[in-house]
Amino acid sequence: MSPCLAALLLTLAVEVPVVTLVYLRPGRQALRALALAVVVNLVTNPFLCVVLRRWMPTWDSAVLLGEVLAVTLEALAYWAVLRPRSVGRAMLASGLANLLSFAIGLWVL
Amino acid sequence: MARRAGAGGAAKVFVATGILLATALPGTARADSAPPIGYSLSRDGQAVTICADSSAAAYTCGGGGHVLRVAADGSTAYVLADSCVDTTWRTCWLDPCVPPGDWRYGLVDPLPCSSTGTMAWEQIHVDSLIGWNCAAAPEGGTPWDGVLPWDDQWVCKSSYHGPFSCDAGRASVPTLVVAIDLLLAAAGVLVLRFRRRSRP
Repeated sequence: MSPCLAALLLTLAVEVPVVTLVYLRPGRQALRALALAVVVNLVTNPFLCVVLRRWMPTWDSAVLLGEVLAVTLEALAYWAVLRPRSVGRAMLASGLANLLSFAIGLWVL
Repeated sequence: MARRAGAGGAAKVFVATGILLATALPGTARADSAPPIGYSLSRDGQAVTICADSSAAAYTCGGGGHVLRVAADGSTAYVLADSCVDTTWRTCWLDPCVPPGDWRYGLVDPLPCSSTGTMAWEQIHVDSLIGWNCAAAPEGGTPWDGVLPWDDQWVCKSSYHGPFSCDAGRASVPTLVVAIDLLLAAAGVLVLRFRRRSRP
């Protein structure tokens, strides 16, 4: 299995349940949150692993830029799509999901 | 009210879990959800293709990089004939003639150390002779008669330098990423609490 595919699967396995749990309560948003988490991670993770890896001067700069973009774009997506709109919940969902997937990846990959 | 308190408690548990995970990471952890850099190997009937995970000029075609093929048991080593191809996404080399066996491929000058770890070589198993140029290059390259530039598969492992790591306090990309994610999650909790308190 390619390293990028492994990273994507791990990211989905960790982040989707976390985002779903954070959105479990308000307005039956859990299913929408689950679907949205899958979609946004299918965009952000390959962008980091494939596009930035190729076009940034070093892998470290690609990781830093990619992770910052991912956590920001994911928070914006959760805020924009899920109802009722909540800045705090979007920040919590994105920050926590990315923190856990990043940390678990340190051990697993 | 009880439901609100429950949601807040769950959020605290999540954040606490994140903090514990982030701070308890070992200093020699190997990678993160962004994988280590190294090589991707593939094979078809024509060649083994070795693609490197680096955009640095030294590791693209014309950068002077040479790929080494070493038997897994260390008995033979060859420098591949120069057959480099720059694609849109990666730089790859073709091994034009590969005998059966377990082979390790990597650049003679290893990829640069990255914060998520760097591999010196990747291994592939070849069942039967493959290659499009076995007549001209029966061994696929020229024998390497120097000291092998790598032994351990890792050039370096990931560099987390956060709390409780061996060298806490030194900045690194993983430390920065953990800090950014943690700050965002903590800010989210604060915003949620502030909103709840300010409700009539």
